[in-house]
Amino acid sequence: MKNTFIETARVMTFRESAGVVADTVKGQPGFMVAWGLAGRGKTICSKEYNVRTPGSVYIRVFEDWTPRAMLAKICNEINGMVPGRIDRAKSVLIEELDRHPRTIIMDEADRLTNSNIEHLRDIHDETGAPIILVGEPSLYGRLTSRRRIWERVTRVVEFGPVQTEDVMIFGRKACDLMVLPEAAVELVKRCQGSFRLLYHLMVDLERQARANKVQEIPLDMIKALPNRRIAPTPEKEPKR
Amino acid sequence: MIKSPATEMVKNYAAVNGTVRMTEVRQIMGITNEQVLYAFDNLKKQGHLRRVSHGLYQFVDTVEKPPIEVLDKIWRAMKISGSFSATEIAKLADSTTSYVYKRFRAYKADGFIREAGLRPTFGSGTEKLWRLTKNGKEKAQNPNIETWTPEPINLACLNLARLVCSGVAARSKEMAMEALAQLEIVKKGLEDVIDEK
Repeated sequence: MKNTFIETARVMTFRESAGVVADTVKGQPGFMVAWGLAGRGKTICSKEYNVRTPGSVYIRVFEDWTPRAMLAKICNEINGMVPGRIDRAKSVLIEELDRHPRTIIMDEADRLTNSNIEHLRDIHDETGAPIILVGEPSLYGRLTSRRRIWERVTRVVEFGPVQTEDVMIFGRKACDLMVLPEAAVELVKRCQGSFRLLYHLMVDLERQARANKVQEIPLDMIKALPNRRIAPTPEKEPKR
Repeated sequence: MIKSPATEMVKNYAAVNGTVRMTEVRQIMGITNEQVLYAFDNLKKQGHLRRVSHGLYQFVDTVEKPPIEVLDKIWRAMKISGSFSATEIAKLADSTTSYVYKRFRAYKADGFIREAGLRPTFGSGTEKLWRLTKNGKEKAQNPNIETWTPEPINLACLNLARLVCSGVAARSKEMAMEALAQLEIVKKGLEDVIDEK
């Protein structure tokens, strides 16, 4: 399988929205949210955006982060400092972001506590630095429950389930395989909307196609794929 | 890039002395006025010389080079990934795996990355995982900043000249010993050159 980044419609929407939020002038709300279930490509998309956009900082939120740990990590990513106090970290961040405005991308943002989100709001209000929160849909409830935060969210990108055209593009670009439309529909059903599962199915398909020397993937081939994620077989009680 | 010998000489001289004047360089190095002007112009463009007052220039050892897009992307991709494989970095940096491997070899030799185990790949065995070292994490903050230090033989030569020409070495035993140490470095450097030839 080729090592390529597949630019789906959601990736394009993410880039466009992030570009708009990054252009927002200071004083205007500039929060962006990207949510979706696990395996939908949120993390790889935000990482890719960070790598191609020099003025951005990517932070992966760790479980049980205190505000000090979060602010110190952002500081560390921006200028290499690890301040020991919240106020010091915040003042360093504000000073640094005033000098060089950057977009802050917080991945796994559903792990952030309300207090952490409030600290991010402070930084955003003081510096105008756009903040992108990436996480699972549980983030929605946390943000909407606080009106002051939700009002600052101007863009939302939803990473929904894999689409039929995504499967066809993935097959063509990554495996040089022509997945027929009906086969693509079946693959979408099988992978339950997850890119991660689709990847594993495509690895199987690529092997089969190589062994059979075929370029087209028909529906029969998908149906013949073994289920590799079977539920455990219930154990029977031994007969007495 | 072909380096101008005059520029390299002036760069070494400025690195040792800290601040330099054009007239002083012309007299001590014995190079023409045109060569001095060319060298100063080059070093100002490179960011190694900064004008501090009329005719006086300060040497800057740490300069920020213009970023090379692919390398910049590779560094950013490594910075945001805890442990990573060459294929992952190639995907994020929009480069090829072979080029990333080539860079990894150089980064490993420089001590910026270290191996962090193996990961099975689907169908092709295993792939190596890497991690940034402490030095690598520092470098990732500013990958384009380059610190320049003069060659030890040049540094020793200029130190020796300073100690002898100023008369300090003739007046103090300690300074005379220091001058001898510098002379040893110069001698060893020249012997190495002769052996190589």
